[in-house]
Amino acid sequence: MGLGAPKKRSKLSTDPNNTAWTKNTTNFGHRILSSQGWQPGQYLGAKDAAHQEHYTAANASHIRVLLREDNLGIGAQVGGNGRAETFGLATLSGIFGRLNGKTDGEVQKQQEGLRDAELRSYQGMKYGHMNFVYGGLLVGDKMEEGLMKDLARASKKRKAEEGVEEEGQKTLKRKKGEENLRAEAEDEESASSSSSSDESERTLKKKAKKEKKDRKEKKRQATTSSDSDDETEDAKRLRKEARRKAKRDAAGQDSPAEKSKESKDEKARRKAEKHARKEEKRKRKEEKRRLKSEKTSANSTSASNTPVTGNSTPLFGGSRHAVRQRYIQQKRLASMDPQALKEILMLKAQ
Amino acid sequence: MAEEDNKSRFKRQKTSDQDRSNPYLAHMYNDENAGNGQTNGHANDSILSTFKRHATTAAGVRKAEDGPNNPFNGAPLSQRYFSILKTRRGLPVHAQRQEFLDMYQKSQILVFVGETGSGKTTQIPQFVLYDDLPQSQGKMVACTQPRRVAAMSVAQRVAQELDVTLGQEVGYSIRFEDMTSNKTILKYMTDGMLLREAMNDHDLKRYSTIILDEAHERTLATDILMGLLKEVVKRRPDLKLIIMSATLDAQKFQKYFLDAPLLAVPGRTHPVEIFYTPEPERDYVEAALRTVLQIHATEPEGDILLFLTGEEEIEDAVRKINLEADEMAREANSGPLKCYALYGSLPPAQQQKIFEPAPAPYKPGGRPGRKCIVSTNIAETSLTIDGIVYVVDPGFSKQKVYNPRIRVESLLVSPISKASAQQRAGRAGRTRPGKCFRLYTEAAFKKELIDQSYPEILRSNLASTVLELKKLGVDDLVHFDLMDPPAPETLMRALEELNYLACLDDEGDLTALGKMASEFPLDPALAVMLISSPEFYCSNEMLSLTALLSVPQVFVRPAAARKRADEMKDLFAHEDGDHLTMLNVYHAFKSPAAQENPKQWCHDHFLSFRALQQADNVRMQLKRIMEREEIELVSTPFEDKKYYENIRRALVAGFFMQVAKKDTSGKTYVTVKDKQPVLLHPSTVLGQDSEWVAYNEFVLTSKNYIRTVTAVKPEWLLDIAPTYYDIESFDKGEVRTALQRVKDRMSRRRAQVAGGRR
Repeated sequence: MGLGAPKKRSKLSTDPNNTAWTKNTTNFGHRILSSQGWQPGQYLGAKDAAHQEHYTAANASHIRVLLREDNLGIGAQVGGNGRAETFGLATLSGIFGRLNGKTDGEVQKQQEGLRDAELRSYQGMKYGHMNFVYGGLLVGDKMEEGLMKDLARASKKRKAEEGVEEEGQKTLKRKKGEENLRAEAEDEESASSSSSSDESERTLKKKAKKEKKDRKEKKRQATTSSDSDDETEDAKRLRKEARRKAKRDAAGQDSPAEKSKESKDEKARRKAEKHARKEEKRKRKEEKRRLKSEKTSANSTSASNTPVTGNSTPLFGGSRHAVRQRYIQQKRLASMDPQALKEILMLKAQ
Repeated sequence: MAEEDNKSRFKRQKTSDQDRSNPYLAHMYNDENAGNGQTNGHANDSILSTFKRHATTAAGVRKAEDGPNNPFNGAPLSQRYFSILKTRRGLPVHAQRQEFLDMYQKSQILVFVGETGSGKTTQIPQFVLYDDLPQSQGKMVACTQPRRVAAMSVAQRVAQELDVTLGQEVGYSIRFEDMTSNKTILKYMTDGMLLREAMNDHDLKRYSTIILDEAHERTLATDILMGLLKEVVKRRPDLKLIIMSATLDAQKFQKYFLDAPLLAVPGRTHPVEIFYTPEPERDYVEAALRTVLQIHATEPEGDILLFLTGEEEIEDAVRKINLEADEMAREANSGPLKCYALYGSLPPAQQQKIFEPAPAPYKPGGRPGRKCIVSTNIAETSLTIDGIVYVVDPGFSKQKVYNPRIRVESLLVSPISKASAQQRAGRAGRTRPGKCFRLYTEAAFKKELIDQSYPEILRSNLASTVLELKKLGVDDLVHFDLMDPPAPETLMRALEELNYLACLDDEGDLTALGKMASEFPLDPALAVMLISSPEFYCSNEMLSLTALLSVPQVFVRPAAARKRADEMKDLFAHEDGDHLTMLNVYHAFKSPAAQENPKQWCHDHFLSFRALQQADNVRMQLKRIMEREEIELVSTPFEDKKYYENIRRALVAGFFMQVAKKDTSGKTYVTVKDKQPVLLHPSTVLGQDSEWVAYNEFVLTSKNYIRTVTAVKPEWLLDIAPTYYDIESFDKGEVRTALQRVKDRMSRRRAQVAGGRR
């Protein structure tokens, strides 16, 4: 805990675990258990129980639970990983890195990542983000509406990325390459996606089914159109027809096998298109999410995924307690000032 | 049979004439009555008489179900029956009915796994009914539920499905309420109730099949029942046992039940996408609120379920979300968001609110409205809310833990298990594909969460359990075959406590007092206090106090009116402590003035009407038991100087193990034997500086508090609980010196009195 942390005083007894009782082997309970054939260190329960392999430490001694005085989430630590940075140690991370046997290249990348993250958070703090309205997606020469979303795929990709992040270095490559597209998970709390693999698989499968259905539909359409050549033609069918003709020319014949092959090609193309669309959509979504979280950032969780191995970014505006302090001050002012009230409710004026 | 008896560790109880008056044993004498014969008579007319027990087929049963007459009571089947039958046949379990029957007929024990929504709770007992034909044996099928409400509502549903009146062929039995008749062949009951029956009838002879439902919840009673039934099935080859679980730790059940066959039926659930945060959260509550708002802002229609830990946290979150959602609707044109709280101590009327449909859009064509339910983990398994599509899971719940070393049982916020997390996520996929947002990283999910939640038996003080086991005839506690044997230290403490309470003698056998105490559905200390209260001429008062101590907090202290609430509490305050204050409250509540409009009166005095009403109810039930046990109900006249002193002395008779003595520093207290430093809880009314206090509850926080305290005199301690306050057993220290001083003073006074008399 830093110097500014609130003092916590608690009195510990000389024997908080009451070992005096634990060690006492003459008490009634101990006597009865021993008389029934129990020996210290043994589990209770049937002798040679078939389910013994399922026993855990909780069957040997009482369950220990950490007393929680704050709302720290699972996996987060008090002071946490960000603490070093708070004290300016981040600047030394290069030296530490080298001392830890990392190559100069790695260290360099690490520092670049740090710098980028800082820049991003600075920009976010200072100017806020531009909001854009979704205006559809341009595919070829027409607008596509009603995109199917594909969170499963996105999340799968994301997961892979996260896995990479842990390694630390590859992330940087990604960061550099896709920088502007993905100011993303910076500050993004909650909803980032990384679904468990089976879950995503299930959704994928489902989607595949749907796609298949779509395809079937289209195929049917295609066949009917080839059967009745002289019907009214809309642009779409025309294009399809043209493509088919070209192919037919190439093959010389219109065999069913051909047709299927052709449809496969088309499938692949469509798939690729869809994939691209999804990618796009996902990015947009992330952007939106980020904006949203930015908006509500008063006491931000500031969980950022700076590519430093196992470290998180510096919390802007000083330590967690500084943020807290500010929050409390604002709260005090709240009754007088509607603006302050708004801030406490974590809403920035639009 | 006799040989089996010898093998078993259970002591058989002789049934004597005295048992005839025992309601739990009523069935043993039923055969002489017309009751069962009548049931059989009915059955003989129906198609069921052609059925061969344990040899039926799904097809045959199907015919019987199609009517036209009810196979169980001969009455013509109603229209509703057939419409329900149609939906019933669509349930996943029906697809595997034949498979179930084959396995059920072949083996004595069966483990059945069905995810939520498979229909197992309502259908399997009916499958059993048609095959087991318990009416032909004069027996019953029992199906246990961990919760009273579930037992009642499921029984109601199944009665409808079988087209019979609830309480006739299908009934339920929960504590204090028996809705069965001599015609009953299928009985839903709480697991605790079956355990109580087992105390008086170790072989559970009135049942031909016992179904333990929701076994995955691993309640204390279910765990003990499993241990018990494992023995019973050895003694009774005709008894069949089905263990039903909703989760996949079924292998553990299978192993435990000697590799019993397993039947799994898939549930009817939709896929749920799981999302993790990329980084751990600094504040899970805030993150949860933001996630909810974000879902509201960005996700398509569908209701949200957010899991938080406690009443206070939930109420706070609900308030904030409603506030923010209104703002969002005003400023960003979002749809309406209605947020509801859900926790156990919520009044039923308010609990019902969560089933209201989501609010309509503000204007036609506007963004759809949505409801958000902020709940404790009761929404995890026990309550199903339709329409939930998004689940927000911060990964915490309040869980009971018991530390036998310092003898503290408390509810603490701690991380849930993986199994729990999956259950929570599953709630999103009840009506259509959903999403679950977990406010922790995937790595944390894998590394920091335990696989399975700890069963209750590992998290509780076992004093009353040991008493029950003793009553059940289990003497070898060490080798009692539990699925999860408790920690040895926990068992030791329980034995020790019971010994000090004189419920167990020095050989570890049940005493008369212990037998009587086991009749009360109370903590042994409370039971002993109640039983010994006539000695102090205040059993009426102790009865009220016991009831008050076994219900939720009676004092209400809303954040907005703390001062008013405290003033009102002062009206009832008794300077000697909180127990007496509570008693004053109860007496005032029962006064004619208050009873005119009790609800308003409670509201005016910042008291919980529900808690007081509940206390009233519990008091009535306990009174009935006291009358049955022939414990005198007496009172000291209120004018007597000793009125309150007697009550305090009676309190010591039960709570002498929960006493703290003031430190020499004069600020903190120290618990007498376990020597833990504690503070008086700020809510206490204890006015005087009392050196010795008896407390009801040890609250574990960074500062340890004792709550509900009453001043006692050390002389009483030495008088009433001489074995516990045997000075030789204390280590050198303040407590010992103080006790020694008191003892010396007492013997001096006694000598003086004797001298004076001479």
